[in-house]
Amino acid sequence: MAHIGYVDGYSRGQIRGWAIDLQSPGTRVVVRAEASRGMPWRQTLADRYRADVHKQGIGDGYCGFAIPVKWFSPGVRVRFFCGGTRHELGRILIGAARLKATSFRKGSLVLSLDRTSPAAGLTGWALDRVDLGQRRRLLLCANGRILATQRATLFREDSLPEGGDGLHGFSLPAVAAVPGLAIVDSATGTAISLV
Amino acid sequence: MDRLRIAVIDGLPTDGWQGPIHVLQQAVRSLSRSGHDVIAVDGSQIRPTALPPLLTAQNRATPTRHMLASHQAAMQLAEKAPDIVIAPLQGGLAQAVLMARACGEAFTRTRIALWRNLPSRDRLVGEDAPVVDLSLLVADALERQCLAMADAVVADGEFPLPPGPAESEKPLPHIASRRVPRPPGPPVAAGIHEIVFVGTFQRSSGVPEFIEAVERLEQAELLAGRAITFVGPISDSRYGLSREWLGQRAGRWSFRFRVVPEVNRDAALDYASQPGRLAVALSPVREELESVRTRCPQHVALVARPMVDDDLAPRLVAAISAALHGDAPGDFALESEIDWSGVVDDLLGLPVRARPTVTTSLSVCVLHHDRLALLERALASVPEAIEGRDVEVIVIDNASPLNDIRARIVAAAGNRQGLRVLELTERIPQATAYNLGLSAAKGDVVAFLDDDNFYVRDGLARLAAAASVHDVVVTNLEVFDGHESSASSGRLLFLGQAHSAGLFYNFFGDTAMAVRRAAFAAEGCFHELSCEYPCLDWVSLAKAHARGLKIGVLQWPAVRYRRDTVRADIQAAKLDQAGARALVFGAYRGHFDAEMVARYAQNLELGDL
Repeated sequence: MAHIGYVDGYSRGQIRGWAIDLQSPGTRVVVRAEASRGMPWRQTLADRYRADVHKQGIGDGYCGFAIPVKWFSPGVRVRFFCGGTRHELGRILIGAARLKATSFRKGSLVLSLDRTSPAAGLTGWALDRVDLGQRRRLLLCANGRILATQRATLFREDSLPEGGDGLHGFSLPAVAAVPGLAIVDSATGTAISLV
Repeated sequence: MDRLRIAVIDGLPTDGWQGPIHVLQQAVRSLSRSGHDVIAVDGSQIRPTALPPLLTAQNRATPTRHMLASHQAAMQLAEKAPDIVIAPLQGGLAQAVLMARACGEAFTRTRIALWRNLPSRDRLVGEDAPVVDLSLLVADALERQCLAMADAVVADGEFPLPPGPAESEKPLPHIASRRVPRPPGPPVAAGIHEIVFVGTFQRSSGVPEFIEAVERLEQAELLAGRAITFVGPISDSRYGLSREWLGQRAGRWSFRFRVVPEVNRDAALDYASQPGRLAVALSPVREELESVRTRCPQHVALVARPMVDDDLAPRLVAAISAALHGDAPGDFALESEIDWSGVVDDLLGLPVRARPTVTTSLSVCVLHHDRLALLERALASVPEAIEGRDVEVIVIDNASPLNDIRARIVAAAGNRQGLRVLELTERIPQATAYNLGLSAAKGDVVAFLDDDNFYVRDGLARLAAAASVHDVVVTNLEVFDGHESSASSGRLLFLGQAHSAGLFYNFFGDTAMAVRRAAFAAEGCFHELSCEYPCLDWVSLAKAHARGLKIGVLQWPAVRYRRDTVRADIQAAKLDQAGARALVFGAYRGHFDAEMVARYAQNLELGDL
C-alpha cells in the first residue's frame, strides 16, 4: 500500500483534505480521524472530487474528504490516518486560530489575509475596529489600475474576536503576482502591498 | 445467423465484497462460442483516457458510481456501433447508451436489452445492507430510465423475478429466455468435514436461514462433528448482523464454528473450494451463484430470496443433507444455462427505433446582463438556421446599466436576421426573465442560454433534434475555467429524469436546455417567485418531472459552460442549499418513491442509535 494525502485545514465547518492509495487509485480510501482527550474516533470515505489534486495527475481526482468540525470539542488535537499501515495524513488543532493568515493593522483598519498566492485568489477579512458596521470596500490594484473590487461582507468566523458580527470576509479573484500589487481600502486609501 | 457485434455491459458493485460481480459472464462465453463479435465492457473498470474529469452535482465517486460507469460505457461503445447491447437492469449501466440513442446521438441502429435481475429499489427496500449514501437511489433512477427506453427485458424463463413498481410504469416486451442443459461437471469427492457459508454476513444473504438450517441439522444429529464456517465480509457494526450478534447467537451451539473475514471474493471461494469443504451460497439471481458452482466442486447453491422465501430454511436443510450424503446438487438452475443465441434471435425480431430529427421551428432565448463581450461569443455560437429552418434569437436584456443597449446588442449579434431584443428597464428574477422569453418566442422548440456560456458546434442542432421526442432536453456540460479557448475542466453529468435521487442533489440538468414550448408552458414554465431563489434549474426541472414531462439528456455536451469558482463562492444563492431543497421538495409534490426514501432515511438514522 502506498498512501499519500494531506489535511488542508478547516473552513465552513468542515475539516478538508485528501487521501489516495497510489497502488490502487480507483479504490476509495477510508480516512480515520482520532481526537485527543479520549474522544471517539470517526471515519469517512475519501471520494469527493478534488480538481486541484486531479490536475497534479493523481488518480481520477475523487479522493477528497470532509469531516464536520462539530464532531470534535474545541481544543482537541485531531490526527488523520488512512490505510492498514495507519499512514498519518496530518493533524489539526480544533478551535485554534486559522493558520496561514497574515494580519495588517493600519489605524483602525484590520486586514487579515489568508497566506495564499495571488494566483490562487486572495481571501481574508477586513474591518474597521472603530466602526464595525461600516463594511470595507476593497480594491485590488496594480500600478494604479483597479483589477477587482469587493465589499468585505462574507462570513468569516475567525474575524469574530475583533468584536464584529463576522461578516467582514472577502474573496478577490486570482491575479498574477505583478509588481505594485496591493489591496486598497477605498474609504481611507490605506494600501497593503502584496508583492 | 450473421456474425453480430454484441456488447455486454457488466460489473456490478456488491455489498461488502471488494470489486464487482459479473452476472453476464455466461452470456459472453455463450455468444462468443456462437461466433459473434462480443465486446465485454466491465462497468467497474473502464476509464476512457480521452474523457475529461467526469463530475456530478454530488461530486462524490461512491454514490454516483453507477452514473459515471454508465456514461463511460456509452463513450467507450459509441465508436464500435454494436448491433445489440445487453446489460443488467441492476445498476442501470445501460442508461447512457439508451439516452444517447433516444436523443439521436449514437446507437441509432442498436437494439438494447436489459437482463432482469434484482432492481436496486428492491435491495434498498427489502434488504438489510447498510445504505448510508445515495448510490441505490441514483441506481434506481438509472434503472427506471432504462426500463423506459430499452427495447426488451430478458427474464430467466425458469426462475423469473416478480416485476417491481418501476416496471409497471411502462411495460416493456419481455423475452423469457429458454434454458439448455449444460455438460455435467467432474464427479464430487466424498468426505465433507466443514460446511462453509460463502457470502456477506447479513440478513439479506440468508445468514439467519443458514443458521436455522444448521441448528436443525445438529438437532437431527446430521452434522456429525462437522465444523461451520462463515467466510465473507463481516461488519463490526452494532446495527446489523455482526460478530457481536453471532457471538450471542452461538452461545448455545455445541458444534464448532468460526468466522473467516474476507472481502476478496476469489480468496473466499479459494477457501470454500478446498477438499472436504461444502460451500453454501444463496441468491435470488442464478448468475450470482455461478462463481460458486464453477469454483467449488462441493456446493449447495440455492436460487432463493432470503427474508422473503418462507420455506428457505427447510430447503437448505434438505439440500445440505443431500450433499452430506454424497448426492450431486439437484438444482436445475445450475445444471442448465440460458440459451443466449435464442435471446439474440428474439432481439433481432424487434424493430430498430427511428432517429429523432429537427421537425419544428426553433427559438433561442439568451439572458444577458452587462456582459456584451461574452454575449457576442454566445450569439456567435447560435447558427442562423438548422436543417433549413431559420433560428429565432431573443436576447432578454435584464436591465444592463448601459446606454443604447439595444444597438449594442444588435451590433454584438453581427446584425443577424431573426434577432429580437427584450429590453428590461428594471432587473427581474432569472425565472421571470426566461418565462418572458418563452412567451415571446415563436418557435415550437425554445432553447435557453446564459450569456456567459455558448454552444459547441452542432450543439443546438442536437438539442433541437432531441426535443422532437422529449418535452425537455438538458445536456451534459463541458465545463471550462477562464478564457473560452481553455481546455475542458470537466464534464458535468446529469440524469434528466432524476426520480427520487433528485430530491437530494440536482441530478436533473441545467437551464442550458431546450423545451417543447407547448408542453413546458402548460406545466408552469420556470418556477417563479417574487424574488431570486437558489437553484432555479433544479427546482424548475423537478417541477417538470413531477408533472410528468419527459426529460432527455444529451450525453455529448452541447454547451461549453463557463465556471467562475470565485464568483460562485460569493453568491448568496449558491450557499442556500437548505432553501433549495425546500423548494425542490415542494416542486416534487410527492412524486417520488416514498417507500424508498423512507427506507433510506431509516438507514441514516441508524447512526444516531
